[in-house]
Amino acid sequence: MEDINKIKEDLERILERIRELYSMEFLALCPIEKEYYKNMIIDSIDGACLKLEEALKILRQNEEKRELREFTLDELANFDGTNGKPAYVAVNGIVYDVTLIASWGGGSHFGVLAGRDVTDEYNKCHEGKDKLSKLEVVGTLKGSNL
Amino acid sequence: MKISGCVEEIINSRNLLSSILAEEAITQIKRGRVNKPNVIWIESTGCSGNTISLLNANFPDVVYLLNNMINLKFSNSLMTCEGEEAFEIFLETIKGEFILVVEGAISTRENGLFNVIASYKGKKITALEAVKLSGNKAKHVIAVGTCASFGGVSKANPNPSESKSAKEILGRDVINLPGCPSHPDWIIGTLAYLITNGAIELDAEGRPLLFYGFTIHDFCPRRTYFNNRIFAQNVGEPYCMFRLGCRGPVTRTDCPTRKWNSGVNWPIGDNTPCIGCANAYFPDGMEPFIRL
Ligand code: HEM
Ligand code: SF4
Repeated sequence: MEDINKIKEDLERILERIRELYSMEFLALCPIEKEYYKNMIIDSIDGACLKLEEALKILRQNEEKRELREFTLDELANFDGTNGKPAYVAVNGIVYDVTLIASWGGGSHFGVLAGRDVTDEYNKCHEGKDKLSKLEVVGTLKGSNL
Repeated sequence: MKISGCVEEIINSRNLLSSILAEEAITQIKRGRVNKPNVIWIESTGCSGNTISLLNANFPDVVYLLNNMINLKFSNSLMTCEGEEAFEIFLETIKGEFILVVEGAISTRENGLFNVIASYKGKKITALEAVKLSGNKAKHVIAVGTCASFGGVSKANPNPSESKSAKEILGRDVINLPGCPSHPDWIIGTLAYLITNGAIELDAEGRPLLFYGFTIHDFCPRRTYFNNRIFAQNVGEPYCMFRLGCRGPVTRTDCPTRKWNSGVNWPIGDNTPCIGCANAYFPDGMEPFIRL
C-alpha cells in the first residue's frame, strides 16, 4: 500500500508540473518556445502513464499473493455465498471462486448451490466445455489426490 | 458517445414498439395489403396467466386487437360459444390458413387425458390431440409463456402430468415468447410483426430478438451498483440484488425498460430480485428465488 501512496504523490506532482507548463505555454510569445512547452507536457503525460503501469503491477502482485489453501468439505460448506460470504465450488479437487460470476447470483447456478463439491453436476451439464479456465482458483480440496 | 446514443434510441422506442407494429399491421389490413389472420389460441396445461396478461394490454388494448388485427376463432378461455359448437369452429378453422397460439405446456400422461379441452361427438378431445391436430397445419406456431416455450412450471420436477413444451410435441419451428406470464406487448408485437412481415428474427432458443435481445442485467437501473460491488445484504435494500440470487444476468427480456402492468413497475423496481421467469430453466433451475 505504501508504494501505491508514493505513486499517488508522484502523480500529483506531475499534474502540478503540467499545470505550470500549460500556463508557461500560454504566456510564451515565440512559437518555438510554445512548441517546446507542448513537448514538455506530452513528456509529463508519458511519465504519468509509466507511473500508472507501476501501480497496476503492484496491484496484480498483491492479487497473486492470495494464498492457495486446502479446504475440507466442512470448511468449503462455509463458503456458500449466503450472508455476504464468498461462494466457492470444488470441481475435480480444485476449489474455484464463483462469488462474482454473473450466472452464480447468490451462490446458486441453475439449481446448483455453492459451498460443495459439484464435480458430478459440472460433468453432467458442461461436459467437454471449458467453463473453468476463467474462474479464479482459491485452493484445493483436502483428500483429493491432486 | 455515438454508440450509447444509438442504444438509447433503441431502448426508448422499444416501449412504443408494439403499438407501432400493431398500428402498421392494422393499416395494412385496412388497405387490403394483408389479410386479417385467423388465430387459434389453445390453452393447455397452464394457469390462464397469459390470457389474463393479454387482457391487460393497454395500447392497443384487447378489444381493439380483436376487432382490427386478428380473428380470434378459438380460445377455450375467452370465446363465448361452448361445447360442440365451439369445437366445430376449431375444426373449420384448421382447414384454412391460421396462426396457432399455445399457452401452457402440454400434458402427455395417459395420452393427454390430464387436460381435456373439449368434448366432441361423445369423445374427449385432449389438449395434446388439439395441438397435434392443428400444429403442423398452422402457418406459425407461437408458444406463449414459459410453460408452452420450455415446459416451465407445468414441467417442473417431478412433473406428474408429464408435460412437454410445444416444440417438443410438434417438432417444428415454434416462436417462443417465454415469461411467466408473457408480456402483452410481446404477444401483440409478435403477432403484428408476423402479419406485416411474414417472419420474425429469432435467437437460438426461438425467441424474437426484438423483445429478447438483451439480458435484464444489461439494462438494469441497478447495474452501476453491480459494477461497483455495492450489494444489498437483505431484501428491501435499494442496491444490486446479485448476492440475494438475482437471475437478471441469465434472463433475456426487456423488462427494465418495458416494465409491467401498463408500465407501472417491475420486480427489481419493487426491490425483489429477478427470479428468471422467462428463462428456459425456470422454475427448478432458477431456485432458490431468494438466497439469504
Ligand atoms: C445443473 C447443472 C448446470 C446447468 C444446467 C448449467 C447451465 C449453465 C448455463 C445455461 C450457462 C450459460 C449462462 C449464461 O446465460 O450466461 C452456464 C454457464 C456457466 N456455468 Fe453452468 N450449469 C450447471 C452446472 C455448473 C457447475 C457445477 C459449474 C461449476 C463450476 C458451472 C459453471 C459455469 C460457469 C463458470 C459458467 C460461465 C459463466 C459466464 O460465462 O459468465 N456450471 N451454465
Ligand atoms: S439487480 Fe440483478 S439485474 Fe440488476 S444489476 Fe443487480 S444482478 Fe444485475
